[in-house]
Amino acid sequence: MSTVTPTLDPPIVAVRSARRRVARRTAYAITGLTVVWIAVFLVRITQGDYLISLPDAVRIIRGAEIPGASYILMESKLPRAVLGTGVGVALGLAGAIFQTTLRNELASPDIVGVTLGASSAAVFGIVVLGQSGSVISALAVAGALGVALTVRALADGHNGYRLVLLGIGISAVMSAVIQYLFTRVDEFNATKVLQWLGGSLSNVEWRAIGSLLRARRAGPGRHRLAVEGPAGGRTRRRPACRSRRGAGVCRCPDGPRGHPRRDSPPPSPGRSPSSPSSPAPSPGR
Amino acid sequence: VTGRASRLAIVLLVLAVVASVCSLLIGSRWLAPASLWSALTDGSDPSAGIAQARLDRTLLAAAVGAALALAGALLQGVTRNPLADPGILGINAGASFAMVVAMAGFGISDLGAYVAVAFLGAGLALILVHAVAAAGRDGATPTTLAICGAAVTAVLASATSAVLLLDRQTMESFRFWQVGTVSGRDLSVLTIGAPFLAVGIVLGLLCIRLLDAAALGDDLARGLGRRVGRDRAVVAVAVVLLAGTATALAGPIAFVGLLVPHAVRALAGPGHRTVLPLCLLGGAVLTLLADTVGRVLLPPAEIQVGVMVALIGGPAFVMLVRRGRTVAL
Repeated sequence: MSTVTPTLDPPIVAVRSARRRVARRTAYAITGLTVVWIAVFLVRITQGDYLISLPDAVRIIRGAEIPGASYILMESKLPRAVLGTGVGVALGLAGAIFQTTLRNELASPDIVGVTLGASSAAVFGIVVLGQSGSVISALAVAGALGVALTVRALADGHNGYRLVLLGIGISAVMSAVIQYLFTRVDEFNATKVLQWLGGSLSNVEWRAIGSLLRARRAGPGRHRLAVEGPAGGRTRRRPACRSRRGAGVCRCPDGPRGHPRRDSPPPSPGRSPSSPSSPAPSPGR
Repeated sequence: VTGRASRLAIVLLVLAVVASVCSLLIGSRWLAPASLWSALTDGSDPSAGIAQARLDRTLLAAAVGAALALAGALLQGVTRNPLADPGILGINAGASFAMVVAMAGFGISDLGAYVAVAFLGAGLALILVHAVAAAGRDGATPTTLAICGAAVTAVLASATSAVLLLDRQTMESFRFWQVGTVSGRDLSVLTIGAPFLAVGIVLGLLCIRLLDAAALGDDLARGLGRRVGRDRAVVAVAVVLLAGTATALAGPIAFVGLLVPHAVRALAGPGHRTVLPLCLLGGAVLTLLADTVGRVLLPPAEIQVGVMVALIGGPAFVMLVRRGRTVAL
C-alpha cells in the first residue's frame, strides 16, 4: 500500500522502483519471519520445565542418546513444536485462501462457521457419544467439512457478504449446540470439553502430525491457482474446500485455536518466490 | 412512515401481545387463561408462584430481547457493517471475561453484582476494540472495527477459558450463565437493570437522525454538519448500556442483535426512524417466542433462551439471506 509518487521520473523508472520496493519488502518479511520462527522453535524445544541445552538438543536430534533428555525432547518437546508450526501454517494458509478467494477480509474459518462446525461435532462426540481420541478427530473433520459444504451450498456461488452472513448464521446455530451440550454434561466431561475447545498442544503424538501433513499437502499449489484463476467457477471452489479441510484437520489433534490466521496477512501474489508468473503488481503500486 | 412499516408495526405489536400471553400460559404446566388473572392478583391462589415466575421471565425476556435488537441495529447503523453485532464487537466476550474474573478472583456470586461486573466488562471491551481500531491509519472504519472486535473476542475468549480451566468451581457456575437464560431471575434483578436499559433505549432512539446521516458516509455526514467522532461515541454509549445490561441480566444471548435488524430492514426499508422502534418490538417477540418454545420442546427439561434463539433464528436468517432480502447499509 505504499504511495509511489515519482513526479519527474519517466514511467519505466517509476515502475521498476515500485516493483523493487515490493520485492524488497517481501524479502524482509520472509527473512524476518523465518528468523523469528527459528528462534521461537529453539526456545520451545530447549526451555520449559525441563531445560535442554542447545548443543545437547542438536546432538539428540542427530541421533545421540542422552538418558532422560532424549525421551523428553523427542516425545514431548519436539512433537509439540512441530505440530505448533504445522497448525499455525495450516490455519494461516486457510485464512489467506479464504480471504483471497472470497475477496473478503472478514472471511476466516472461524467467522464462516467452519471452526464451530468442527467444535460442535467434537463436543457432540465427547458428550453424547462418550468418545475420545481419534474418533473425536474424525468427527471434527467431518463437522468442519459438513458446515463448509452446507454454507457453500446455501450461498449458491455468491461469495461476498452473502457467504459470510450465512456462515455467521450457521455459526450461531453451532455455538448454540455447543452451549447446550456444555450445560448437559457432567463435571469431568465438562473439563474435557473445555480443554478441547481451548486448543492445546499437550499430549501430541507423531501420528497426529502425519495426518495434518497429509491434509495440507496440496495447499500452497492450489492457492496459486486460486489467485490466478478466473473470478468464478470451479477453480475457486476447490481451493476453498482444501482450506477448509486444512482448518478442520488442524483442529482435531489439538482443538481450535483462535487467532493465528487473522494475524498472518494474506500473502500477496508476488510474495511466493516460486511463482515468477504471478500477476503484475496492481496499478496502484 | 411508509405503509409497509406501519403494517409491520401493527403485526409486531399483535405478535408481542400474543407472545407474552403465550409465555404466561405455556410451560411445563399449562395455566388456563381464566385462572391466570386470579393467580397473578391473588397471592393465596395455588398457581400464584408459577404465575409470578412466568411474569418475571416474560418481562425479562421482552426487555433483554428489545435491548439486544436495538443495540444490534445501532451498531450496524453506525459501523455501516451488516455483520456488526454486539457479539462480534467483543461485548459479549468482555462481559463473559469480567464475569469469570469476578467469580474466580473475587468470589462474587450475587446476581446484582454480576450485573455491574458484566456491564463493566462490556464497556471496557468496546472501548478497547474502538481504541485498537482507531489506532490504524484510516481510523475506526467499519472493517477495522469488525476485525479488531473479532481479535479482541478471540483474546478474551482464550483468557476466559484459561481461567475456567484453572478453576473448576467457577466453571461450574459459568457454564450455566454462558448459555443465556431468563429463568430463575426474579424481578429484583430486572429492577436493577431497568434504569440502564431505559436510558439506553432513550439514547438509542435519539440517535435516529445521526444514524441516517452516518449511512451516507463520513464525508457526507460531516457535510451535513454532523460531528462524526462525537456521534460514534454517543451510539457506543447507548450500545454498551443496552447490550451490557442485557448480557448481565440474561447471559450472552447471541444472534438477536444480528437477525432482528436484518429482518426489519428487509421488511420495512432502511430508514432508522422505522428500523429502531420496530427492532425493539421484533427483539422482544423473538426472545419471548424462543423462551416459550424452549420450555415445551423437551418436556421435563428446559432449553435455554440463548440456545433457542439461535436454533429458531439461524434458519430464519439463512432464509432471509438466501432470498437476497438483506438490505445493504
